[in-house]
Amino acid sequence: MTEQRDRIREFVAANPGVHFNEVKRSLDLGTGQVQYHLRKLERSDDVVGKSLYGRKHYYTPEYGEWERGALAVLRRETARDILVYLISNGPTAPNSVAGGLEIARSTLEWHLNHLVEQELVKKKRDAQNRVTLELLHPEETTRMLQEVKPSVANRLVDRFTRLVDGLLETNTSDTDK
Amino acid sequence: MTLLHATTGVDSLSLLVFITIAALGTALLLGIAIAAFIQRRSQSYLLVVLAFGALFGRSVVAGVSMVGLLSPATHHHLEHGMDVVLVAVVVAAVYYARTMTEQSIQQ
Repeated sequence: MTEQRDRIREFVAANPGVHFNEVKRSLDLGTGQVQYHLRKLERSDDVVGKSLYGRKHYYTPEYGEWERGALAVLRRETARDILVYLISNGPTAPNSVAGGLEIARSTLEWHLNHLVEQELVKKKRDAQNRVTLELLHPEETTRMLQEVKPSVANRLVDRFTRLVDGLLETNTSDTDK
Repeated sequence: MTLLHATTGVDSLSLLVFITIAALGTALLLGIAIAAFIQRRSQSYLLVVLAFGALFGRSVVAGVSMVGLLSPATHHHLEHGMDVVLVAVVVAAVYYARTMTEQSIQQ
């Protein structure tokens, strides 16, 4: 294996769920170079790729299907905040989560869609069709929250959308969907 | 450099520094806004991108005028024209956010 390919494999192993641009930026390599080596690494099963929400994330093969999806979502700061809130407060209604984290309802819904899709959170409905948010795998989720941290670029975009959503939000204190 | 000194000497140096900082800052904001738009793909975020685009455009106009490529009159027209775009786009973003919420409640 070439030196650069080793570097890339080690970087992916240390940062499960990194996406293409982060590999490029952190290792200071060219697009073509990263593309070439990742393709080779995928072919030799040293690295597994997964496309999610318009981005391709990379992992070493020891992660299972659920873990791969979860790790990708856990790279977003607000998604992490929502999970930490549910870990410390137990099952909660969406409005209380948005209120507790001081985020707009639209921000919560956007992240919640991904958290539900990746089977981290479940929306439970009671007889009156009121929603409660619940963690599906609390222990694994807590463990994986410690494993990944969002990058600076990720944090910036995440905080920007929080700000804009908050500014654009109307105060029709809304109905629980 | 000679082009700079052709304007007003020391003053133009501090102006150049301001324009450079403003251009770098607005370029960063524009980049973040574009990344956010790629995630959300909503009309409101598109308008936010346009607003930051206009803000960045102001710095570009200032830079271009400094090196003498634009006359002061055109420069002012363009700059204040950009302000109009900025205001219109932000008002539209707020308006669309409201109509979108109404639609989603009605659904």
